Amino acid sequence: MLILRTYELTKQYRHETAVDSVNMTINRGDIYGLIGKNGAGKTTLMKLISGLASPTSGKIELFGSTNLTEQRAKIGCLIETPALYDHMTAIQNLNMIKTILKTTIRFDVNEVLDIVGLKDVGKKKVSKFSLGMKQRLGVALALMGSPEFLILDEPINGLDPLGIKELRELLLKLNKEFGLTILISSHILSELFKLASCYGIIANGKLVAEITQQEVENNSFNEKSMEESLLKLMEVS
Amino acid sequence: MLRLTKYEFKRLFHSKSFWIFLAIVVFFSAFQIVIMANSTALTNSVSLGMLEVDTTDGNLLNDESIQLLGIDGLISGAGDHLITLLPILLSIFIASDFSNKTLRNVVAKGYAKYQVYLAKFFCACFATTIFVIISSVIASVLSSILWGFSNAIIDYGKTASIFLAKLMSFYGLTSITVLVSMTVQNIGGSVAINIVITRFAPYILTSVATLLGEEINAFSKYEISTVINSLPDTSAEFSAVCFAFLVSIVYLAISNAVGTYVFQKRDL
Repeated sequence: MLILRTYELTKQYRHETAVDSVNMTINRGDIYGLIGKNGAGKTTLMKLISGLASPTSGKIELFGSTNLTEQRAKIGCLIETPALYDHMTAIQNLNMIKTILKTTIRFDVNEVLDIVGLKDVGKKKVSKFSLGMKQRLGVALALMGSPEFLILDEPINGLDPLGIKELRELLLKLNKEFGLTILISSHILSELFKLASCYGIIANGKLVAEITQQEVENNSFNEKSMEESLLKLMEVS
Repeated sequence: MLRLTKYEFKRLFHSKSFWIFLAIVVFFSAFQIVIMANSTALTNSVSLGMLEVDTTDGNLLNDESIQLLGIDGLISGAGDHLITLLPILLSIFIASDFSNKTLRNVVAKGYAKYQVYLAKFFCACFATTIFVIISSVIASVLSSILWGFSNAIIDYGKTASIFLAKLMSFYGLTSITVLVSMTVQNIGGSVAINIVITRFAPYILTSVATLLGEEINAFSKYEISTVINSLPDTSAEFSAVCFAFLVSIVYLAISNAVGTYVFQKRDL
């Protein structure tokens, strides 16, 4: 089943085209790695999908429907920096999100905190959190409700090596055990290779290549050759 | 929509600025009555229509006869201080959601932008109602203690309609503040523009009127702070009450229509 399909999706600002006629497909159960240089259009594309920006032209289909407002209730997202209330505790932040959830709750507040490894600091004010802890709480916010599709923009930014490993294991667990589909972008290609099942390469707003899980398996890419191939694609474009 | 409004209310009650401003409003409301009771210099405040004046000989009485009856305090309590404080508080409350980027969490959870806008507006109106009621009650209670509640038969219907007209005028002010904050999306900018609109616009209009003639001056009567100040106490005319209702409804309709349209076009 298709989770996301975009048709000629375009976002134009006054003097530049941030996303240029992107046709993208994500299937249920995919972990889709979005790769691109800084300013390639990754964040804008994610913003368009999650409704934070309106497309100039083109169409988005979520869960096979174009009623995006309704379908977005099934999405969890973390775009750019985690959006948190610094003067509240982690639990209060999660309870705020709980107030506006339209879907049934899969994980309770304490469960989510446990999943992201913040159970012991639930009552601590967010202003006292490190960047890595904020990042984890951002992921926790995205997990509230019953998201079927997670959109994570650079989620490992600010995490220490242990945190990166834990987040990777968490995302793989969510993907395998709960069937969550994930769209993830990262600058750390090596980390993305350990996680993603398929890839999209974006350059100057265009989706220049999509590599499916089957293609990855058929070509028996190893990490190094994969990295080289992807970098080559980014440079060519 | 109900969930969104509940979310905004939670935000409001968790917001430190709300409680700080509430304390300031309580202080100012009490302060203006205390000053009135103790100062002879307050005779100048007659121009604000807040004082009971013996006009039998056309002169102001001495300080002993400066008084604000409790029933008039109910109307005049929500006065000039709120015209300044409300736009500042609401600008901070609304625009901070953009600065923290927390509004993204809401929009990304599958809500239409017009719903987000209206939830913020309803919450802002709720805050306005609290501030107006608290100011009015404090002014009324203190003035009743000092000078009595009323010295004539009370026309409750008239008093209620004046109070509601004043509350509606404050909603008009709130709608502009919400429009500006949701459009500017920045705390400093929102505060500055809202203060210019509510505090300086009347002076600017009057100044332009003196330069260009009376046509502009006629327009200044539609300015929202002028409308609020046109209902100083229970002596307000029926025509002023109707005018305040009408102007407020126009402000509410235009601000919300423009605000939701602009907000839907903006990216977050």
